[in-house]
Amino acid sequence: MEDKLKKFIQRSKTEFNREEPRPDLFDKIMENMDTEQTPLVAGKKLISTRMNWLAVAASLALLISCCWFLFYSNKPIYIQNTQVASGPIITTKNQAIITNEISSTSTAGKEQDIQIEKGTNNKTDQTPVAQLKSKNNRTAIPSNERLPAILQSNSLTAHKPIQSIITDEPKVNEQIAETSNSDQKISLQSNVTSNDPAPSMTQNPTMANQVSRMPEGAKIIASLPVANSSKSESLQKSKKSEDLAEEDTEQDNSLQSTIKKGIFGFLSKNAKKLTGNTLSIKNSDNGDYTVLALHYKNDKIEISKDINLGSFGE
Amino acid sequence: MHLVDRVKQRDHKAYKELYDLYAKPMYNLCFRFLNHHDDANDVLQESFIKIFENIGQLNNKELLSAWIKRICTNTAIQALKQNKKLKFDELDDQPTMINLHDEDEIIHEEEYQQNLDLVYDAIQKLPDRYRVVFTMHVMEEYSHEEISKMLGIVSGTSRSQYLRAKQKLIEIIKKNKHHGRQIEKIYSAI
Repeated sequence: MEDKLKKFIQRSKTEFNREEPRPDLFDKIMENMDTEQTPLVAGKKLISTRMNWLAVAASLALLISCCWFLFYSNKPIYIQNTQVASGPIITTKNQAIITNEISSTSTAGKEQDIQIEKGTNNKTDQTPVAQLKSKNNRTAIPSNERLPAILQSNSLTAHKPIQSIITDEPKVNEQIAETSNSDQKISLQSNVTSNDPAPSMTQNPTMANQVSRMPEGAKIIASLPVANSSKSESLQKSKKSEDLAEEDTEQDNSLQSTIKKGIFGFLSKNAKKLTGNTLSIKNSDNGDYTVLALHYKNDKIEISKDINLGSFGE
Repeated sequence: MHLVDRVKQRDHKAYKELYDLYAKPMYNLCFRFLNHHDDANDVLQESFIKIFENIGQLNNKELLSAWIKRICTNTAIQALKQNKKLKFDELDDQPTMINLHDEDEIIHEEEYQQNLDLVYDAIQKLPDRYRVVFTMHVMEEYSHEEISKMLGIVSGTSRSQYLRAKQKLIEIIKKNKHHGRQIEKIYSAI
């Protein structure tokens, strides 16, 4: 069927244009236009605007990813060969001060015992306060009365198995004492025969339960399967490994520093080119610290921000 | 020199000429879409800014009218979508049966001509989605395929919306016409 309504409207279209725009609309249009620009060439302006935004977006993405890479991907360096145990840094959920008392060495079993006693306030349900007591006695180590230096280091990693025994419960082979401070979880793992690395408290929740069930005045004796005769050798090994670790750290720091300088230098030089004079990045590095001064300006907004990146290699 | 070339050279007189030439029809287009004068003015302003800033992309001068109309249409649709006035339901996709007898009652063009105001008012009273599709198809002469692309709907929806819009339009015209006759009778009786 013929669409007469449609035909009628199309034929009398001009009669349907009855409305008038506001008289001042043209002036408003001119006000909102940037008429001082150069004559338009087909396609050029739109593309350049898009390219500007793409360049800004790309630059920011690159900057953010670089910052993330440099500051958040730093994994802690573990010294695998160092036989280090945190000796006296043990508290339970109660306000326990566990002192490091070195018991007499057991030469027959070729094990050296660490006796850890609870402090004066032994109520297990009280608010946890972790007190760390450590002694760095690397220089003066009596041969038979004290722990080897490697046990008295402040490092929080324990790679050497330590056997601990609760004197009130002699059948228990493994006991763990943990600092309840959330930032410092230290575990002592005992396993005389096995050479496996010690699992942490978080890996074995039953150990934590055992500690919380420790009676008042309980003593934890941790035994270390280190022979007296090999103490000097282990000392030398530990020193060597520490030296190696320091060298590795220095190398990593210098590499980081080089990467940082390269990336930030590149960004500083090319930011304006990449973003069409909208983004400028100034890299001020006086050796001790690095500050990136970001400045973004276009027709509508202007943003300035200084980002202190701290010192290289830290 | 052609008007388009002068506008490309940022001739202020050419801007004004181009605006005077197209402002009224484009304003009416925007008004038919938005059904609100302030919104139509805003859309027309935004459209002309786009036209002046992007006229460098127009290579074929013969297509100036179509190009301007397209920019205004797209800007108006964008404004409608931003105001969440343009929503098409799933029911809109279903085929519509139109009662052709309704149209038979006002079939003579003379009668349409006499009732131009009625038709004009009836278009404004249509729901947004009907009015937009009807305006695009009848007034701006876009095909259903073009309408479906611009609105982001399937062409079947565009067709069904058009038929429903037409049906609704005839209903409104009939209603107003009947109401008008009743008023005439009342006045004549007085």
